[in-house]
Amino acid sequence: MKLIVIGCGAVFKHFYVEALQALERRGVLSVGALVDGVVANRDAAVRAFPRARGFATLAEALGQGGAQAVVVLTPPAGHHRILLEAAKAGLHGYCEKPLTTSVRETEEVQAAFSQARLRCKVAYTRRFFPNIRALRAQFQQLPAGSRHFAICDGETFRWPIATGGIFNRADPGAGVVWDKVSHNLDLVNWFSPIRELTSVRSSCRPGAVPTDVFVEGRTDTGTFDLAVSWTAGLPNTVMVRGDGRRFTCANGLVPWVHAEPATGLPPLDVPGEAPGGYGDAVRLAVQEFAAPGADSLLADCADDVALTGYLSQINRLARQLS
Amino acid sequence: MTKIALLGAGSSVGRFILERTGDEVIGIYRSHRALSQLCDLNLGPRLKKASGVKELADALRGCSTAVNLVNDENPARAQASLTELFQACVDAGVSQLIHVSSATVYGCDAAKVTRLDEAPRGLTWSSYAIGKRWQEKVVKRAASLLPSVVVLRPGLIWGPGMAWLHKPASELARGEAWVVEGNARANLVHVSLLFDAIMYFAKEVPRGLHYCNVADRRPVTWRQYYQKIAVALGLPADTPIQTVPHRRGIWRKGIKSLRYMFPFGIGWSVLPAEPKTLVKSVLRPLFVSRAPIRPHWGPPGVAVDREAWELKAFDGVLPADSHLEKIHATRRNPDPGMDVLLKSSLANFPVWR
Repeated sequence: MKLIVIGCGAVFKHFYVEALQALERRGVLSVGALVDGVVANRDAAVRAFPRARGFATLAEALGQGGAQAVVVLTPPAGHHRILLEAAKAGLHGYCEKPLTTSVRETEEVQAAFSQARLRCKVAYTRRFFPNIRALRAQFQQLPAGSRHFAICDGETFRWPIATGGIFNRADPGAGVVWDKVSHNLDLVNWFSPIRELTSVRSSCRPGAVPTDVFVEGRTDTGTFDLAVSWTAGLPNTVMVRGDGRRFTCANGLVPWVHAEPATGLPPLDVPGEAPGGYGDAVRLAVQEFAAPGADSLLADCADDVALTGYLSQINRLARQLS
Repeated sequence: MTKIALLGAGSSVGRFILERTGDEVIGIYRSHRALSQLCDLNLGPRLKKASGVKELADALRGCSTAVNLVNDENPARAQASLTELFQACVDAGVSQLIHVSSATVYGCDAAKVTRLDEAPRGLTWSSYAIGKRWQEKVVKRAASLLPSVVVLRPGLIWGPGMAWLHKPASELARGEAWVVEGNARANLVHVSLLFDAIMYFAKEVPRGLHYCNVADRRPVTWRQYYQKIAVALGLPADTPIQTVPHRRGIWRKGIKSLRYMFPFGIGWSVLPAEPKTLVKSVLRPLFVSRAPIRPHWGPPGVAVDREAWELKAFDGVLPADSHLEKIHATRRNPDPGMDVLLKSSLANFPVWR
């Protein structure tokens, strides 16, 4: 599969370069074009992929021909336009989360890819952490109806960032909702489909970008709550509970799942290889996307309409509450 | 009006001060990520992005005091950024620099703490403390460049959003709280007291180089501190607080401390989190089989890290001077006591049961 990568900033540099290089070496895919409006980013990207060509716009890259898919790594506000352009050109789409920032845009993207019988995948990379997978297996063994899922994600903002865009108050796609809640809400939905949100709280100031959000809701099999913050050092943990049992794991790369000591259960062995970093999760996500016959990804895309709806609702409420 | 520039505006302390002041305090940040701490405060006009001598000097122009909240665990970068700041202050005509250091510079041996103005010599394996020590050396060397230079050495800062409140609260919420055996006192300082100390020195502008150890007036032991946090969180009275030994085996201590020593320390401090995780995940199975990857020694179920152990084991009274008394005496708001402050600071802290 030959790819066009659009957006060669911090996310590309820190999380995607090594993953894509590894997949190129294995013959899973090849990077044919690199698109970025910033010359320095583009040049650096071409140095990492010498066989690829650099372009300033997607239209120029599409003119080159030969690509089968586009990897979208730009800020969220640009995803909708780029994905529609890609679907129109007959390319599969892989997009950094969130897919778009409104339900209407997500529906348009979904319709465009479905009608063209193309794959569309959102990079919810936390699904690929081995501890999260082990926790999900435990979650599914708990009795339905009483399952509770909880996430705390409060590690101080540490990932590399090249622009202040995500903190821009005027941008509806900015703020902790689109950055962290999108990842964590996807996990909730992946463990058990979300049925409704019951409360949304935020501690932000009037008109400001939400930096702390607390969400509660119901899923098909129980309840969930989600505490996410850029500013507070909350315990960075995922927990599932039910039937008097409780399992926790780190909301990150550390591969352990811990059973509640009171139950006398030992810590679980986490299956699969230990991750080498976030880049490994990215590699697995891209690999799944690039695998031949990955048509099930159309169903993943359908989930994103509901997810974008919840995210928009949380974002709107967080801003109104503030 | 005294105009104060805060360098390191995106830190927790920077946020606390900017939230409680007006246009007389501006914030300077180096990286966009600093805005994640500040973007809900609508501070746009009071924030400036600057790095390097020229940009810093431009940002500092018109200010009478610069407050440095920046630290870097890489000693070379820590020194370079502070040297640049001194030069920028001179170029911009800033008359005072308040450098916020840390009481961790005293190391882990309380017996060696003697004089306030003496360069600390106590042993420490903490890369944070080492960065602060290097910065203090730069301050001492360059102090003559400015009319007034103040080095503040706060203890462990607690208060809303501060690591030394959230870390113990997280441990308690997970049932993994621990203290070091004995009754070591916690060298704590509420962030509002540090704020008052900064404003005091910005107002007084004492000439020459001054040091001040900033600490809460009513001391508590670590166990008392944890117990008070548990009460503020509404946790049951029997919430476990484990005790870990005061001394560890010399070999294990030596091997673990290698990562802070030259040249490993430098390499480790410049590595981002991802390669660190990779290195740990590769090395760990060689030494520990089938064990969860967590920093782990001491009682079962308790994760103990070396730096926190060092801080919790330190039991000494730091030298104080007349400034600290004046700061306590001239505080803007009366101290309502630790219990009240803990309750309000932890109002939204999530606890799962």
